[in-house]
Amino acid sequence: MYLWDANILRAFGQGHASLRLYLLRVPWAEIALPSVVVAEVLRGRCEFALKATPAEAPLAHQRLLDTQQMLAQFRIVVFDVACATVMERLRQQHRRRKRYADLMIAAMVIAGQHILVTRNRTDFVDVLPATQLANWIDDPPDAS
Amino acid sequence: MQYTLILTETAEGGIQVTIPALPACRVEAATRDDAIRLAREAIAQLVSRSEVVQVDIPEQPRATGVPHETPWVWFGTARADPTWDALFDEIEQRREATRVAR
Repeated sequence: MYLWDANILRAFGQGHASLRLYLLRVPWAEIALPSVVVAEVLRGRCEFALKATPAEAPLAHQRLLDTQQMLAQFRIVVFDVACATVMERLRQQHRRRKRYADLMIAAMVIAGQHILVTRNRTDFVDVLPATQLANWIDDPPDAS
Repeated sequence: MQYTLILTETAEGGIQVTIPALPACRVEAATRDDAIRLAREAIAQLVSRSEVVQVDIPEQPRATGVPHETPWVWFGTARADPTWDALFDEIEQRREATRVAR
């Protein structure tokens, strides 16, 4: 599966031209969101809805529902026990330099033998092999 | 065992009985009392000839709701939504905060 990092979901919402080219080539059934990204996105939308002023609340709650419906279009890969085992190993190797959610996503990619699609190569390049990293925004499909 | 009976008045003025738990079992009678009596007999007869067997089906149903084709209708829907970018900026900031904290 091609697991999307949050920055690729962002580009999906923005209708990014390069992402569109990939989506014309890659079957939707091979694309999934890691449950980590789902949690991050829903947390943001839920907090927006719950902390909004009365004037902002109608928009915030509508955005929560819109986002929930968009997420429902995606297959979701769940962080399971196998991911937790890999994550423990990664934390011991990279504890001080890595961001927690990045390590969770990397563990999911390794445990499930997926390919991570992200714009942020920098934070994954020393955790994942090059064959399991792709950038569908900055590397046009013809060039890869 | 208790069964739920649905008594429905027919166009001819009689009473039709349907039994949700036993859809094949239907009776009709001229009066309400007769309808209930006939339904009771029909259920007893059907049950006396029947055996209840439960089977396990190991295969899970396929996930519903997730489209097979790219959901283009959602592509670019947040283009005019400034809260979309703010949402992902915040996700990025929160990730960055964990680099130092842990």
